[in-house]
Formats: sequence, C-alpha cells, structure tokens
Amino acid sequence: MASSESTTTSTTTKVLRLKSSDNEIFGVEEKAALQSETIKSLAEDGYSEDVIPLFNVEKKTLAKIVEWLNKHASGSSKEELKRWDADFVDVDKDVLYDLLLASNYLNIEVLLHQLAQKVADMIKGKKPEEIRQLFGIKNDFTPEEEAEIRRENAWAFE
Amino acid sequence: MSNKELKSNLSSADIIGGNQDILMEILLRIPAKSMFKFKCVSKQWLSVISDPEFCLSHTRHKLSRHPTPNTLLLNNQYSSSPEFQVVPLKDATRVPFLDYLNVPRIKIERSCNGLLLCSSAYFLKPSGRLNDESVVDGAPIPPASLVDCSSYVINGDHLGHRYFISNPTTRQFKKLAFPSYIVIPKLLLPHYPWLFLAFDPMKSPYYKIILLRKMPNPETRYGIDVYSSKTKSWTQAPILFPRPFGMLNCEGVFCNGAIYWYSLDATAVYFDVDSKTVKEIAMPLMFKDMPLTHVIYFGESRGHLNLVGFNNFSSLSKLYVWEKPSSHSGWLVRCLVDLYSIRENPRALSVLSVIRTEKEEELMLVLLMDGGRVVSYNACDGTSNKLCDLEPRTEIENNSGKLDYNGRDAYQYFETLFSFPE
Repeated sequence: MASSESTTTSTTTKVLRLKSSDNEIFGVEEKAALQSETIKSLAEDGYSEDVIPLFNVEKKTLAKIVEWLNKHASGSSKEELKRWDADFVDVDKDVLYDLLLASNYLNIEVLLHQLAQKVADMIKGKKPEEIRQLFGIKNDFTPEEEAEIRRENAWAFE
Repeated sequence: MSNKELKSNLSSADIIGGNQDILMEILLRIPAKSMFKFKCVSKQWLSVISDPEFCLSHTRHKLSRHPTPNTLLLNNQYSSSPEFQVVPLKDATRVPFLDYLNVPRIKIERSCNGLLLCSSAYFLKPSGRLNDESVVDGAPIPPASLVDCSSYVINGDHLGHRYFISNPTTRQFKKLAFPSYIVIPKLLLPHYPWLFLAFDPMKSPYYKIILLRKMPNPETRYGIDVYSSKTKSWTQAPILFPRPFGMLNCEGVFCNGAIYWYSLDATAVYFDVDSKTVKEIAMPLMFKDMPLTHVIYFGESRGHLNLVGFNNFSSLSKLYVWEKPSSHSGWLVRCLVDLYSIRENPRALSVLSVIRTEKEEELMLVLLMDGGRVVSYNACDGTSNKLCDLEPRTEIENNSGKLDYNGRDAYQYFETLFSFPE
C-alpha cells in the first residue's frame, strides 16, 4: 500500500488506521488524518487505538483522500500546494463526485471547497437540461411551470 | 445516510444532485447570472436559489472572493432610454438595463456593493411654475421639485424626481418614500436634497438611506435623516450639525460604515451611520501646501477612500493619488502618477475610478483618455491596458459645455444575488 509507506516508517508519530467500506486499511499520521472533522470525532470517541471504520468511502476514493491529507500536512509551500491541488482536482467527473461526497462525509472543509469550486467551474455555463443530466436530477416542473420560470428569467438565457 | 444500500442503486452524481449541503457549496461558487438559468433545473434548485438567506451567503462569498466591481456603469445623463455605457473590468458582463423600472430618465445616484440608488426625473406640467399637483405622467407627487440648470436637455423645464433602490442583477427594486415631516424646500438646485446609500452586506443585510438637507432656521445648519430597511422607518428627528465650510455636499462616499464628504477646507466631516454621529477628519495636508490642488476624483474601493488631483503649479501630467486606508485615521499620499507616457492630450483626461485590485491590492486607475479610449493604469508598475472605447456623449450634452464622462458619472457595479426585504 504505497500511500501509507511514508507514514508507517516513523515511529515517533502516532498513526491512525482508517478502514474503507470495502475493508482496505490505510495508515495515516494523526496530524494529517485529523484534518477531517469526522475522523477527529471518531478518534475522540475511542476508535484511535483500533481501526477507524469509514463506511461511506471506498478504497479507491480513500486512497486519493489520504494522498490529499498527507500532502496538506507535509508543510509544502503555499504555491506548491496550489499547483498540487489544481492537479489533484483535475479528474473526470465520476471521480470528482466520489471525492466530493467523501470530503463532505469526512468533513474536510478545505478539500470540500476546492472540489465544490471545481464542480462549479464545470457547470457554470451549462444549460438546465445539461445540469439535470450531469447530476441525474429529475425535472419535477410541469411544462407550464418551467415555461413561466424561463419567461421570468428570459434575459439570463439570452 | 446508509450509503451501502444507496450506493448500489444510486451513482455519486445522483446523491450529489439530491444533497442540499453539497448543492449549496457548489451553487455558492456559481456566478450570479448562471443562477437565473439554474432556477428551472428542479424545484429543489429553485428553492435554494430563491432563498434570501442563501442569496446573502452567495453575495458574501462573491464579495469576499471577488471584492472588485464587475464593470463601471456610466450615467448617460437624462437620455430618454435607461441605458448605460459600460466599462468592462472583468470578463464581459451583460449590461444591466434598468428598463424594468419602467420610468424615464434614469440616473444612477449612488452605488454600494451591488445595490444602486437611482433617480428618475420627469417633467411637471410646463406651466412655468413649480406645481406639485400637475404631474404629467400621473405618478405620485415627488419628494422634491426642482429645476436642473446643468443640462440643455431639460433646461428651463420643471422636474420631479423619484428615487429607487435596486439590484440590477436580480431586477428587484423598491421606490423610496419620504415621510411628510421631512419638509423639502423647492429650491432651484440640482440633486437636492442629497441622498446617499449605505450598504455593506458583509456586515448587515440591511441598507440605509442617508438624506442630507439644509435646515431652514438657522440656515447655517444641516440635518441628516436616516432610513433603515431593517425597521422600514426614518429617524424621528434630524441629526443636526453646523454647516462645515467647504463641504461638497453631493460628493459623499460610503466607506467602512460612514459617509465621507470631501472638503476644500483643511477638515472634512463624515457621518458614522450606525452611531448616527457627525465627526471630523483632516483633509490631506497637501491641500494646505498646494492650495491650487484640483480634485478630479473622490471614491471608495474595498474600504479605502481615494482622492485624485492635479496641482495647478506642477505639470499637468502628474496626478496625485491620496488614500485613506481602512486601518488609518488620516490620508496618505499613495503615489504620484506620471501619466506623460500614456496621455495623448493632457487636458482631456478624466479618472473614472480608482480600484484596489484583488491579488496584490495594487491601485488601478481607470482613465478616460481623449477620444473615448478607456485604459486601466496600474499605479504601482506604470503599466496600462486598454479596456474599451466609449461612445461620445450625445451632441446635446456636449453642447451644454460639459466635459466628457468623469468620476461622478461612473458607478461600480457588482453582480450579486442579494435580495433586500420588500
């Protein structure tokens, strides 16, 4: 497990063990892991000596999250982090959605904001029907209701 | 959320589409204009986008990340159509027309963090006398009847004024009403009484209107009345203060919770809106040493006041820029700008705006050059960029002897979703 190597070599810092929904275990330095408010409260609840179960995050997503947590606890310069973050969120939309859900569940505010910005940039110029398709949203307006909203906001559609 | 079951049936996209918290995080970061289109995505999206609380969060998010205006709107004074010329400062924003107000001769009086205070002038019956009863278009009696002698278009005609608060992005507007105890004399003065707008959505979702007027007895006093959109009421009695020498009444700027007026004297006054007190501030010392300083711009950007002027003794290509930073109680000379390199005609330049840029908080001057070319001039490194070409003002306006647009015609426009209480 490449992502945990760097953290397990150190004997002086405490390592938390995070378990994905599909039972993969990741070791993460406490300092890095506690950037997640959810992990922090689970650790305070006494999970820290054991494995912390993260039922909502699959291993492929958790691996990415752990990568982010480690990078953001590594003391990189602000500029380097900025470049790194831009690369990190440059993924296809399914991975982006998985990361967004995971960062929301794990309550990692900084990451959640970065990912929300990425999704916002992706959808801001799109048409309503494209938005529905991107998020699997059902149009629950009647044709009359939708026509009315379009009429009221006609100038924005120009 | 037991996602194990959900996951088997729903993709992440489906979950995000239905998760209100995540949806709001995303929508906070969408530019205001796209949001109007997104209202018809679904009922959930419509309800989030229409919620005034969310609109306030969206406004705060926008103003904290992007605290500089999207464009400058230039009053096309008293033209019959509600159109404004626009100086684009960021990516091309749609020109907000105020046609939805459905009134003639709209003029922007003040602009404050996304809200505009506009006036609409209309003719009273051309009877040769001022007469409130004879409003031609059947509109309510205006708060002030006046004659504006400054423009040929309306010279000699009698005007009424209506005032509106509006967010041109959402097209929400409200007509201002003045209480009967505020007696406004029918003076032949343009733009009297003087109205100012105080609005800082980072601090409060409510705006205030500040009305400055001359008190009849004794005539050496001024009075200030304040309207609060929170209480929907005016102050019961005016805040009185002695008329300061050299105060330029109509040149008031809202900055950090106060209206500042500039003065030709060594001190100027400002009105602290929350405490409703009038206080004094020293004008730049340069004024004393250089009595012939000619102020050509007075404005605000990101909590800092700016004054720009020439000294008639020195070369006309040198612009002095003073700044009153938010952290500082007095004025500082921010820079001396040598415009020689970019000026074509030294006598035909106006400063439309002074803006603190987003990244490095550098000063950017928006300058109108001879021939209608608008450039942004970086006061720190001396670089300049062309922003646009303006159409010259109409022939009638030029005949009136008016110079081209200046800082008093240019208003900062911020695209926000802010919705004020009706």
